[in-house]
Amino acid sequence: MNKCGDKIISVYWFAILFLVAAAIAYMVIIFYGGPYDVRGIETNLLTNKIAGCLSQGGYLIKENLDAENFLSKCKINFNTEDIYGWKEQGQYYFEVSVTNFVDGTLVFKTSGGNVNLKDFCGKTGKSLPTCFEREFYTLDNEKNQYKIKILSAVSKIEKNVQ
Amino acid sequence: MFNKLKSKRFCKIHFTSKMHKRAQVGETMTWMIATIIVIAILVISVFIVQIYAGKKGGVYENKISDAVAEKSFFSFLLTKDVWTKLQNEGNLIGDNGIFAKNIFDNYKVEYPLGLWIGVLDHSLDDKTGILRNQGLENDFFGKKPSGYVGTVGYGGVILQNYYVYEKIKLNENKDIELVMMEK
Repeated sequence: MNKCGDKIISVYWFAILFLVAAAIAYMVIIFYGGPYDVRGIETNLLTNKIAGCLSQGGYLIKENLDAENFLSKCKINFNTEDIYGWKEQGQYYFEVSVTNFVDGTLVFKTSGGNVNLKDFCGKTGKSLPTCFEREFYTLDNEKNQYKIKILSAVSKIEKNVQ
Repeated sequence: MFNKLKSKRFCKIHFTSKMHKRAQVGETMTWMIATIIVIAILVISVFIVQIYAGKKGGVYENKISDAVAEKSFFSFLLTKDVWTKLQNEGNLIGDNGIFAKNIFDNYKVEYPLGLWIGVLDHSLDDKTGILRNQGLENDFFGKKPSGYVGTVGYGGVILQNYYVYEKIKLNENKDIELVMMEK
């Protein structure tokens, strides 16, 4: 019959098939290609790591209350991948303060990382660093009581926020 | 007649009659409308996916313990006279209760569903002979929250266990417990 018409229809069919396949592939890539924001977990892990460094078995580890070598004593490093300028701008920040539980006097304080991240703590927004603050109670060997406050902040916006 | 019209390389379509022409136009219009409908459906689907992709939820950490809160708990029990008083009094009362409240009140924000420290009594009831397994109510943290929380989900109510739970043996019949429930 009209084979010429059939050939034209075939080309059209392949074009439509390709269009539908491309649209489905695009939808899948958009939906599953977006990042998951794991910074909440990361800040929690950093806080737990610091807490574990400061207190073991319910007692304060006074040897680790060293402001200059705190990160090395706690075996923490803030190394990141060399992308999006992360190496130049630190992606982590922490702040630790140890106070007397009874009268609140400051016993020890230290911080490290990119201090600019602290400015975003308390603010809400999708493309802002994630902050996490926790405090806990501990003793030293002489049964003196302390309150330890840990603030952790993680940026890494490019990889966690779409 | 059609054989004469066929060429080997190029097809030449001749409109030999008005009917043939109308059929061709009619079929072409059908395919054009179908194409527009297909493209419209694809565009709407892509648009919907883009909206839902932006609302993708975060990662929920299904933790079963809270290292920081547990440090507070252990330090609380190690504090001078706390352990002795708990063993003697058998419940969280007096200075122990006030002290515990000072330490753990700041965790209430993170655990809005329930925060409880108290004594679990698992002694044998003298009259019935049945093993008790109940948290003793205290003036500082109230009643021990229920072990299961009902959450409406797929298939009905979903029951969840405690989020954070620590227990330390006080004596043969009693334990001191920390219970924290998030959501």
